[in-house]
Amino acid sequence: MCEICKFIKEAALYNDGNIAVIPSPSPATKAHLLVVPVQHFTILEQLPDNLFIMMMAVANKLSSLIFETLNAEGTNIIVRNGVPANQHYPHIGVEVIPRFLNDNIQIIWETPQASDSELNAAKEELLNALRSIDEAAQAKVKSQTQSKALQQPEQQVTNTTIVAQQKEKKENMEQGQREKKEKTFVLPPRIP
Amino acid sequence: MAETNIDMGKIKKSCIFCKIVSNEIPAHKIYEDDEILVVLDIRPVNTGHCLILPKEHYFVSAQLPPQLFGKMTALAKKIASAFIKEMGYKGANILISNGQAAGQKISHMLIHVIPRKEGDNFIMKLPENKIEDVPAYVGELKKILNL
Repeated sequence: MCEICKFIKEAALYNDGNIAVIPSPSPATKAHLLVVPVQHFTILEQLPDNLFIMMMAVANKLSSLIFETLNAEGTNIIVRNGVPANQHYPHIGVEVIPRFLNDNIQIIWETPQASDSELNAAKEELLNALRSIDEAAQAKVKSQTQSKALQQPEQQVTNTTIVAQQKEKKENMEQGQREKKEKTFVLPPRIP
Repeated sequence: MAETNIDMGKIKKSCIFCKIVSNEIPAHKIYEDDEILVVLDIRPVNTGHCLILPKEHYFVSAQLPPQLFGKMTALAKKIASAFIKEMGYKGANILISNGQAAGQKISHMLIHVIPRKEGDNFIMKLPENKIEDVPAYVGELKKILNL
């Protein structure tokens, strides 16, 4: 069993059905916390946007909470997505870490300043990449709207519907039905 | 934080990111709306490394209005996806550093979105301690966090 899933079951500090807060199983400091989706998602790209936004909101609250209660001198909020990004557990999450001067944590980079032409090229590459992401999202929404129009009226995705959908999914799984991964969370909201 | 005693005008005048927002200093802009500006970091870990800035000067993430923070995090996710799905990276970090002890260098709160690859110059060393007694530790944390 995934260590994070195990901690969600056995050591949750908070769990609302969608999001859980657990202590990091291998804490860098005291009160190193993880905000994780209760459902097992390995990487960020699998995570519905709404859920990620909620996780970050929880992380931000925890960050100020531990800053005050631990008398910390700072906090980090970190997502490590993918092995080259130092992802530690195969269950995506947002980490909240209280920081103190001269602690043993290092998050640093000393990289040279990029030239103007390098930055211009990077800008063009990234803008193109973002455009492709937009187009893919639009195509997805379009196909979903079309198939929905045939089936059922438009449904607004809210916290409650996610819960309801997860419940329904759980029941479906219990019945041994097969289901597609992306089916649970319809309509990723379009980011401007 | 006793912001009431702080001269925000003075801070904004000397803040490099406020100057980027007001176009006093040029930057490579990736995205802009009424509240948010995304620019390339001029000292990128890898090509595409972005900074997501609130246009208003906030010191730390705790001060951000929740809706603004939500918009910024949605952008961070989208940019991270672009790195991985479109630019060939195998990983990305989203990083917020609140306070000097956390590595914050300029007092204007921002979110780093960093594309990652094996062997790059980004160092992330987090000690890995063992929790001796999980239930006791959970109990202690609940007390600390008032949960």
